[in-house]
Amino acid sequence: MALFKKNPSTPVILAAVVFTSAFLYWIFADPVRGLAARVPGMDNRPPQKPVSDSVFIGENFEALGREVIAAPGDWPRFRGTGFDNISTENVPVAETWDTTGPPVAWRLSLGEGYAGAAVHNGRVYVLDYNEKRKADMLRCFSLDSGRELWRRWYTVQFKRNHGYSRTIPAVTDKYVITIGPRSHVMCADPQSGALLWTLDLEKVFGIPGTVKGKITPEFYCGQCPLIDNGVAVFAPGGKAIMVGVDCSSGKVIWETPNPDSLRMSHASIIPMTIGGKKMYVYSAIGGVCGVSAEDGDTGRLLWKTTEWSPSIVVGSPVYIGNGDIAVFGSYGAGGAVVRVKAAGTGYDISVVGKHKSSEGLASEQQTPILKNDYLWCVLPENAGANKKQLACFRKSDLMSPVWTSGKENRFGKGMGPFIMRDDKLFLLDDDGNLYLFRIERSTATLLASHRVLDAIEAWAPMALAGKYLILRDQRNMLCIDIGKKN
Amino acid sequence: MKNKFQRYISYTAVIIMLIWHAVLSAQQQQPQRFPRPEFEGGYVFPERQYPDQRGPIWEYVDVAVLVIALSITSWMVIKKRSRKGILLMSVFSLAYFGFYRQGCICAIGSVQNISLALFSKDYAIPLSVLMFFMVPLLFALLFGRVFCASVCPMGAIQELTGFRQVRVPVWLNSTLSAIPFVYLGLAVLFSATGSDFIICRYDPFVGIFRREAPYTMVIFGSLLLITGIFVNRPYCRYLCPHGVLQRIFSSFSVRHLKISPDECKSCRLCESGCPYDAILRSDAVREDEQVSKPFNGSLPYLLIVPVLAAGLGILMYNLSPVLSGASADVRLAREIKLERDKGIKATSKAATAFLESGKTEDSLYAEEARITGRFRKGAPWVGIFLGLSLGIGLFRFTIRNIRTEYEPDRGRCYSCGKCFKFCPVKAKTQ
Amino acid sequence: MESKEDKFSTRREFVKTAGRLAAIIPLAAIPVVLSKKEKVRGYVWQIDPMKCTACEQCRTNCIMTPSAVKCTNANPMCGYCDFCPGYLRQGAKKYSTAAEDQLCPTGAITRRFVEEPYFEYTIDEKLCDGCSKCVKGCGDFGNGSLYLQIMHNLCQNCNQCAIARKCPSDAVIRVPASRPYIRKDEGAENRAKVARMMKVRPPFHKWDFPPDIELSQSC
Repeated sequence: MALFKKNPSTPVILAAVVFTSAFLYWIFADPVRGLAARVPGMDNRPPQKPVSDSVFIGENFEALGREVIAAPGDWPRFRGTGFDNISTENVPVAETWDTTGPPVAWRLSLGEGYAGAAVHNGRVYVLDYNEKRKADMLRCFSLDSGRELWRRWYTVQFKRNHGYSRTIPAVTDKYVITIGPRSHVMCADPQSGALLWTLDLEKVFGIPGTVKGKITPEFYCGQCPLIDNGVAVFAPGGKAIMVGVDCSSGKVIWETPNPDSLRMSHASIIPMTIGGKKMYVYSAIGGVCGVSAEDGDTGRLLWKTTEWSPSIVVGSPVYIGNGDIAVFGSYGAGGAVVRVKAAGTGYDISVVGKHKSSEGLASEQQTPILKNDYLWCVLPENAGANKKQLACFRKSDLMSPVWTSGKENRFGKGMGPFIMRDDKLFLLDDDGNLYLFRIERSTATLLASHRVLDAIEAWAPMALAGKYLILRDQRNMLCIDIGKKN
Repeated sequence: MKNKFQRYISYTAVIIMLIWHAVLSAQQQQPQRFPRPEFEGGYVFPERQYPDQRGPIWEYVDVAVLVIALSITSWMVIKKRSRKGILLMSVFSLAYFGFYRQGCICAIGSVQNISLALFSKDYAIPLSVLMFFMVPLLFALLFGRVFCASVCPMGAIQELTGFRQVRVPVWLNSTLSAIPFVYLGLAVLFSATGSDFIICRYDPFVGIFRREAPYTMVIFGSLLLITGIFVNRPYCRYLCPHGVLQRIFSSFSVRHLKISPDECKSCRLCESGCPYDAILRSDAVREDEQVSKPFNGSLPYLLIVPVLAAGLGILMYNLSPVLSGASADVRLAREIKLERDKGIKATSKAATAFLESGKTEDSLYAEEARITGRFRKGAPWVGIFLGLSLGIGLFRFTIRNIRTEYEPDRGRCYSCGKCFKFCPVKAKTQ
Repeated sequence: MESKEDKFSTRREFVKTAGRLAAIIPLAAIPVVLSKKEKVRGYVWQIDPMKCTACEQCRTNCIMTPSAVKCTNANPMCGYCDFCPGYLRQGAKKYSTAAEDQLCPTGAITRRFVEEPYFEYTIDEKLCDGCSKCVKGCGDFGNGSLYLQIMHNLCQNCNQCAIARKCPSDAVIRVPASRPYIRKDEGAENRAKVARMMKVRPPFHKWDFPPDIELSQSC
């Protein structure tokens, strides 16, 4: 106070100094100095180098048994003979089960994964992953006893990322073809197991200098091979979106260029006949495309769309007639309809009815079944009120279900497989409960259910061959006799 | 010797087997439900420390602070007669219970916890909450509303901001004073049925204590504070449900604040000193007055009490379906029913979540019936309580009280000590 | 006159004593009645991750801003995926840390390369506002290792939790203060212990915590 009295201008000077410094601070202070821009490369991901591991596909073989009692039944590939997941065999199915459940014909343990079985000529083929030997292993079993006949394997190292094995082999009388988790193709003789030819999709069709050649997707390859008229068809992505390989020689006979850099998804190629033209339809990452499957212009890209491109695609496309293809995306991406219309020499493509998984028909990883104008599916976890229920949609309207199993009947996490024969639908939930439904037009009636397996993630598609239903969870495979007793 | 050795062997064998069994079972107990990544570089899962609440010891510290603060205030009010001391205590309480403890732990809200604990089998309360409910009421019974005076942070913040004093007309004051009774009745009803804690929900000042609030609370709180500058303690007088209990308990207090330190001279100087009109005037029997009985002719009016109690009980019983709407389960059940009848898709988030859940509609309706049943049982009692309070309040107007000195209305006096300075009488020194 | 006064005062005294008794008896009865109940340290609010539907209500309804609800990662359940649906936006074409690829609106999830092909995900709780977008993303198809918890260093432990009132799936419940977290990465035994401690069932929400719940059902 004394200071103020001596010099009356002191407070004015003090105020001026305070004001000036505050003003300068306000002008020069950087209000965002604490913020860091979110840019790529903050995760310390090391510069990725192309893996140069040398894999000798199919190098090892072991014969284990010989005699095969021919058991009737055929399920030669993913989604069966008609690519519709419906068994057309005329083997009646038991409509009731004992309290002990349907009889188990045999069981075996496998390496961790989700690879399903293919059945042909009394043999069961599984592309297993042997964790001890770190090898993709094609194993052949006898259908009626479950005895292993032979195994052919090759060492390939990769780390578990939600299990290892994923795909179902494709079998014909002369060939069995597998695609391994790291996109290694192997063709062997289905009887003897003799190695016929191999193909490393990453090496052959990969883009040099990139990780895995931009071929094998996240969580590894889930594409099941397709054999069509002695030609094996794959969708590698990378340099070619689709390739045809002659099964007898192993030579690539046609390639479809990939200008849009579509990438391999976990879906599989489904042949369809649209407007009288047979084509291979693939729901890739980045878009959907159709490639001609007719002599003359085999391998020609007929149409494509990038309008439907979820981050991850697992469900395969389903042809619902009239040029409409139902496509699905995972992680809540939902579904849509790709409308293919022949226009002059080409095709007009439009994507209609896009919906999220909470708004209509959706599938995280299984593919819906089309039966008599109705689509059947177990809806995923993120499907809102209908989540984890078995639902039926009219094929003309994928947004509102015509029937659902109700909130009392929910199936695991809604990711288990389902398969049909006649009017029967088998449904396996994630936890290993097997359900048998009778389908009448658009409603399903539960006939029987039983916990057949104390399962962990029973996600592999099932195989229905003769009286046998083959299913698996992460580590166990089960063959169940679902045939009608006399 | 040999025997002993053999015995050792068998012991060792047993121990080894036990250990082996433990190792085996330990391995089995970790099912690899989730395929873990195969780390090769010796990665270890980071261990996250989850922060805990304040230690339980602090709850007892709070109780101790409460008891000490109440004791000091009682001493200030009754013995020391120091308005300054009471104000200092207010500052302390505002700082500790208000800004430091952020208004929770709270005697006002504890009435809900108590009633929920009394009427719900599933809910228990810790000792500290029980103490926060009991101790202020016990002090009210002993020394009047010393809790309201300067221990309650809500009272303190209003006490410290009441700068001017505007009188509220008696009719308005009496009418508004009925609100806390209704508030208390509903709060007990809602909490006893497990529906809602309305006292906490509509707390006006907790946002100030936390310096964090939704804007509605900010508006409500600041409006009350601004009103309080002129009409002192508006929350305490016209809203506070705990104040009702304080009022009842304080009416029967053993000792209470006195306006005059010694014998009252009925000098009328303090008449206008109370901002709450809680000073009862000296009203001795006049020469011309005939009072043989204080209840002279008023007993018939006592009939109004049961009539009101019964009437309000019936009214509340009929209102119980409306009141039960306070329960979220009841609201959800009604919405689901309505949407089912009208064929509407789920509109609210709760309805959507219900449809996603595994709960059946029947179990929801059963729950609704259970809760509305509890409301039907509880609501008439709230009505009876309100009827009794109103009846007794009205009946009291008919009583001729004889007072020879100015004294505080023990029910309504906040023991704030504002009247001290108006009394010219000096305490006699011993 | 004097006698009259006496009469009044004795009557008044009588009313007072009766009133005092009437007041003190219920007051004394309350602790007696309540003492029959199991002793508790009290409750705190917590989110049951099994019931949470990641509806985003936690972000806006907490009285705290930002919310006391934070996302947490149960590392033993995490897949350490490069393509993390809780970290990457749906439709992100690159798996990078760029803002346009991230799902988290506040950039609260950091990821760190561990070894090919694994990435570790950590939540920066200072930035997290409990919006649960990542929880939904992870739960859609992933292991469900990202989940919400009320952090008790931030929670004010309101008498009536404002989120609990709005939670559409009754996932915000009272839990014993001595076990204030419902952790997904705890074993089944630990969960059973919590369930056993909840003999005194909290009101408002039905306590349907399965005692022998397995981790698989949570994903």
